[in-house]
Amino acid sequence: MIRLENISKTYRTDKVETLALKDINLHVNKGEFLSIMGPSGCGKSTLLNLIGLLDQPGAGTISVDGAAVKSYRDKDVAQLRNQTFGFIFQSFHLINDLQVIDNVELPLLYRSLPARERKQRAREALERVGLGARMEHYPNQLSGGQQQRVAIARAIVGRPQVLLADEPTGNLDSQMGGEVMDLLLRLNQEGTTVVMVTHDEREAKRGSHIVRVFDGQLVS
Amino acid sequence: MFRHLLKPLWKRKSRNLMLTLELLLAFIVVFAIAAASTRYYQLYSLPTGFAHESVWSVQMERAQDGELSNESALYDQLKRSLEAMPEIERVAFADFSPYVRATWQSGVYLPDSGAEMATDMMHVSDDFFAALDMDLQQGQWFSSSDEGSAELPVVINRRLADAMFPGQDAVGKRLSEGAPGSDNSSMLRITGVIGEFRNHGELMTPGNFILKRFSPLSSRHGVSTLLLKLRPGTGRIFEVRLNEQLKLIRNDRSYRISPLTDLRSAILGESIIPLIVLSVIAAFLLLMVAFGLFGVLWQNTTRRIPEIGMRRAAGATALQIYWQIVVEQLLLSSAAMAVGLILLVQLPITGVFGDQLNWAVFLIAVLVSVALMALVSVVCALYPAWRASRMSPTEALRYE
Repeated sequence: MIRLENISKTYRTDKVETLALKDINLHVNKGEFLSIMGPSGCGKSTLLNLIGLLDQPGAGTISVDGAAVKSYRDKDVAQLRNQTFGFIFQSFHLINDLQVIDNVELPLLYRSLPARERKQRAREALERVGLGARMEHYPNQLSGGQQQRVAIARAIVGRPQVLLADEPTGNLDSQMGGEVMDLLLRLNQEGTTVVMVTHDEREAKRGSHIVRVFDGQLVS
Repeated sequence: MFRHLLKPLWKRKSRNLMLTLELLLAFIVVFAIAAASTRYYQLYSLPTGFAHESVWSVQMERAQDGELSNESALYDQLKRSLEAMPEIERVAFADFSPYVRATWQSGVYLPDSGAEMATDMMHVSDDFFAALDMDLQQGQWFSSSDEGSAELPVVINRRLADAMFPGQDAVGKRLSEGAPGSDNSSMLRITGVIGEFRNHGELMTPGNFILKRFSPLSSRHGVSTLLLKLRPGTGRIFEVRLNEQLKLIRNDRSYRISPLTDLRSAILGESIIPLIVLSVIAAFLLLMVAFGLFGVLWQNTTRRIPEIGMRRAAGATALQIYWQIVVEQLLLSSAAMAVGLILLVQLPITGVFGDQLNWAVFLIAVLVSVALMALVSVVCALYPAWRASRMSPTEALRYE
């Protein structure tokens, strides 16, 4: 599904050069639930960003569905992100001035879909995450767990092949975190590939496969 | 997509209120300047009805004020003596010169119906029309053949003719000065109709006008202005000789000699300078609005950087982000302008400014002010939009 070969990433400022990732080789199989673990600052979020084409590697090749990403032209990677990936962030990144349904509809705005179909799909996605009754609410009227479920609905509304979750339970208490994990596992069981960054060993173990990052390198 | 842009703007209405009010105020000020400029241009494009080139005005000033009596011998002497000078082609007399602020307004009546019409008027001598190269549309100029007529011969402009005699030929018709039947009423007989006569010049609002015959022989009151049509090539140096000649004719008067070209420049300047001052003030206001707009947009886009990161993650291209910021700003400006338009359109509908703000002026002023405000909005949005679109998705998502 996704293959990373000899991936390195270096961040440069005027005076300092920081090696974030070094010679990463990773294969994410279709339908698996991959957990990425590691201490803070080890490069796991950078790895997730590279997988999701939010960032460009310094060296190496990323292949999506067997096709190597050659051009990082903005238009091309934007289309790949829109069609292939769904993103879930620790801080939800919901737009507080938009209703829940409009937040969920957002990735579909960057596709040529009629408004009626966009709305229908957003409704379906919200129903899948159990928030069918909260469509007209605004994000700040919801609990943290509900907000993360909205973010998940937004991530799955475009029916992506891969869900990329960056510490999705990091801002939630254990009960809400548990609910979000259950939801991700259910989506995985329904066929969506999930790649999740987490600090939590217990959550990581609920996935099908764990990789650990330390000092920018894969250690297992 | 459009609805998605409008919704957050509506949700943020309280935050956007001050900015919208600022835009509204700027729009109204820009509209006012644009309307005034358009009206001036519209007026400037209309004919004045006379030629000012090579015509000099001589204002005869007496030591004492008071009603001017007709000194027929003086007028005759002035005319013969001045026309004998090789530089002078023609000499005419009038109450006052074109391009000076003097106005004489009165009512005239239809003798039969008593219908009244307000009009500007002035006395002019027979040579006035030729001196100012005026064109006649109907009838004929009054002349010495009208001397002794019981009814005062007059030439009126087309506007007055159409108002008083709609669908009829005005030549030969009579008007009454003073209400018909009253003691002080006197009859005017129309000998000719001219197209237009705007004595205050290019920026004068067109109105009704009557040119009444001044006869040095028979008019009760005198006039104090000479209009001299000079031969081509006569320079300003002639003014000295002219003054000497005038002093020879009548030494107890002073003479203010001014080419109509100078009087025209002066009166145009008087009208345009306030507009220029207002324009400078408006430009400063617009600059302040632009700075304010830029600051608010900068702050808004900075606050929304994580949202922009999320949109990029969801598949938005940098270009789409760029246009989103610009279009959002245009929508906000459009909202302010829509409110402004609803208020401003009441002016031509109610006719509160009369012909000064006719529909043509209104529409052009609206187009100009909308275009200018849109331009300011877009220019102010360009840099914040560019900055937002240039950020990488990861950078934007991490931004706090």
